[in-house]
This record gives sequence, structure tokens and C-alpha cells, in this order.
Amino acid sequence: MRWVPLIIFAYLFALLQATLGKILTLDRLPIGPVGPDVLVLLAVFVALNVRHLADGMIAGWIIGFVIDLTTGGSAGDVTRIGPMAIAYALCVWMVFAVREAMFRDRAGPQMILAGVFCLAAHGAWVAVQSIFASGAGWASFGELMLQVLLSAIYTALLMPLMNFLLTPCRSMIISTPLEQHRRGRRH
Amino acid sequence: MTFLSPASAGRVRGLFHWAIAPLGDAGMYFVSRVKTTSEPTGGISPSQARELKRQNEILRRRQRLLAARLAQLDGQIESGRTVISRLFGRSQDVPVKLIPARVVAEDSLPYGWCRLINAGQKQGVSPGLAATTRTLLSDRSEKLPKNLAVLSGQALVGRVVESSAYSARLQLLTDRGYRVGAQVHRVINPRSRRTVRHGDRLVKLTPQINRPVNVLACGDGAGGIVAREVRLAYNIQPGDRLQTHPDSPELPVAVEIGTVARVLDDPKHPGMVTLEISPTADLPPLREVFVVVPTLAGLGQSGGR
Repeated sequence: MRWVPLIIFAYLFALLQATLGKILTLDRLPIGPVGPDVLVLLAVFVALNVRHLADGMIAGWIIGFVIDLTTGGSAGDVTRIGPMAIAYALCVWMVFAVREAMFRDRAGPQMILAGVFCLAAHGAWVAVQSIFASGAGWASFGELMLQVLLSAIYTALLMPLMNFLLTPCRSMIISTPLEQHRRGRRH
Repeated sequence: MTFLSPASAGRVRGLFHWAIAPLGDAGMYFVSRVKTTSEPTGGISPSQARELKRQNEILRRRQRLLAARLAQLDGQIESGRTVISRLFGRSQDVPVKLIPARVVAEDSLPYGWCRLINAGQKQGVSPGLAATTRTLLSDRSEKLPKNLAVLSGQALVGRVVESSAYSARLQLLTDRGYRVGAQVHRVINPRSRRTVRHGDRLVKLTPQINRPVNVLACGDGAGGIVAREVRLAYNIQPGDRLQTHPDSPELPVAVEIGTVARVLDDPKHPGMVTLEISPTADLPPLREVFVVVPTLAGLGQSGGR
């Protein structure tokens, strides 16, 4: 894993998501804003291509930590830092575990993995933030989970495009990508 | 050999007027003065003198009428000035200092309504302070020259929840965690006055008994504000205005928050209603804000909650 480029990528993606990427957010829906999480796309890309599970989980933790640092509001209180880092690390482990059973180069499986990743990570994050939120933390849990579901679908739809854009940069982030490693072993 | 047509020649001369007019005006003034003073003046006949006297009398009467009319118009102008001064003139200073800031980023995730602004502790921004929109107001219909615009806080947008040296995080009033004590001002429609309970009896709402209704407003997380458990007897209706409480230590001035959009019955609490309020400020594209710092002695900045 190339850690410095990964951190730079995570930073750029977070910056994109918090500024320009807000163009993609649907702000005026009756349930609340719904938008894609492009950092999920980066984490899924890493999980699909990393060679070692430990590297992938640390990368997931870093990406989740960046989200924690750039998010302040959720279920009725100012959010805490940490839940998303852990959730991302665990979700990378989940994708790593099932990736061999799926056609990873196809758009369909990529979308399913991104959607499930987003649903699990964001759902866990919302649940943890609701636990910590004072006052009416659980009052809006149902609405928040609906937002999470729609955001996961939205994120999943963008996964093939992001995979296409990130593939040329794969060797910048991952020192020995999985396919390259396998080719080397065959020869 | 070709000549310019009259139309083309007129256009060319028109262009040249810009070069002639500024310098030519002073010369023509001098020529006119000299010619007037050098005109020979002669005597008048008795009939011409009588005619002049008659005309003089007519002009004097007309002058008196015009003077009376002028006095009347002066009164109207003065009255108009008073109204304009009351509407747009300098009003009494409110005990706050305004820190201008600009929204530079949003939250990464879409589940909260927070914004990052580019003013922080170095500028005097600390948690708990309120923030308003920033609008340019002008009574001119023309393009404003630089440095002559008037800035005005228009509507509440939220409060500062986190602050660092040069940036701060703003929690917008539609965030689920936002709560503010506010007042509903009932709008009186002269054509159909609403009935409210005043003491023990039902009466028509008049300006004399129209006191603001205190409520606790909370963000609903979906771009709106709600105020729960408001007494039905107040008869709040869509269109009524929600403002901040002027006695609030964090924001000691009444600032517009929003407009009541819907009034819903509260099934859990009979005799109570829930108000759904639309914010006055357009929050998704929010860009320029004022952070409001109370300046009166004893008004603390009471933390982010």
C-alpha cells in the first residue's frame, strides 16, 4: 500500500465531497438531503484491489477517519469522531471476504458491493450517533435510515464510473495490486 | 470620388461631438456674456410702460400663488422624508457586533445541516454565537459604486457549534440538533380577523391584544423547522412569522427565522398543535453570513448547546 498517495486521495475526495460534490446532493427531498458518498467508492476500490487484508482495513480506517473529520451534524447533536473510521475498516473487511465470490470487474457486482458497503457503514454510523445524541436522538432514526438507504443506492449507481476513473491510478495507491501479484505468481 | 451619405456623415459628426462639446462650452459662455453686455438699450413709450405695469401685476399674483403651492409641496416632501428616514435611515444601534464570514465547505455526509465558515476564534467567533444571512440593501436602481453598499443581516441561519483559529462550524437551523427559543407573531388580516382566547373569552384578534407567542423551534433535518406543543387557543395560522426572542442573551435582537407553513393537530396532546415552519433564508445555497457577537456587558457566550 502506498500510504501517502492514499491519504492525498482521501483528502481530495473529502474536499470534493464537501464542496463541489454537493452539486450532486438532492437537498429538497421531504425526508432530508440525499447524496452520494464518494469516499465509499474509494474504499470499495481499495478493498477490491488490495493484496493484504490488514492494509485494506487500515486504508478503510483512514478514509473513514477523514469523513469523521469533515462531518459535524447528524441525529440531533454534533457528531463524534471515530465511528465511521471503525465502520469503514469493518466494511473493507466484509468486501475483502466476499470479493473472490464475485465478478469484480463487472459493473453489477461493484454496484452491489458499494451499495451494501454504504448501507452498512452509514447505518452503523447513524446508529452510533443516535446512541450518543442527547435528547431526541432516536426520534428521527427511521427518517435517517431512509436517507441512508437512498444515499446507498445513489452511491452504488456511481461505482462503475468511479472504478473506471480510478483504475488508471491503481498503481499510485496500491504498490502491488492483486491482479499484478497474481500474474507474477503464474509466471 | 465618393462622399459619405447624410446618414453616415451624421454618425461621424456625432462621434466628433465628444471631442468638441467639453471644450467648446466654456468658449460659447464667454461669447454670449460679451454680446449681452454690449447690446445697446433704448427708452420705452408711455403705452409700453402701462403694458409692462399690467404684466408686472399679473406676474406678482402668479408668483404669490406659486409660493403658496411651493410651501404645500415642501410640506409633502418633508413628510415623505420622515417616512423614508424611518424606513431606511439609521435606526437605534443594537448591542451586537457582526463578523462577516463565508461558507467554504459543507459536511461530507448529507445527514446533518452544518457548514464550515472561514472565520474563527481569531476573528472572535466562538461556540454558541448566532449567525444570520448577509444581504446587500440599496435604494438605488442603478449600479452601485464601490464602498457605498449597506450590509444588513436579514434572517437567522444557525449558530456556531465548533470554532478553531480561522474557521468555525455552523449548525444550520434545519439541523436536527438545533433548538432556539422564538416568538410567533400573528399576522392580522383586516378582512378576516381570527378569533383567539383572551382571558376567559373568545375575541377577535386586534393589535392591542396581539402578543407574540413563545415557542421552542427545532430543526427537522429535512430543510424545515418545527415547533411542538403550541396551544391551539393561540390560533396560529399559516403565514404567521417566527422571530428570535429579543431577550435572548446570544442574540439580543429580533431576527426573522421563518414563516408558518402548516399547523397540524398534535394527537398525543389534545388542545395542542405542531407548527411546521419554512425558513426565511435559503439554506442550501448559503454563502455569505454574519456571526453575531453580543456586546452588552454581562451577556455571555454560553457554549454550543
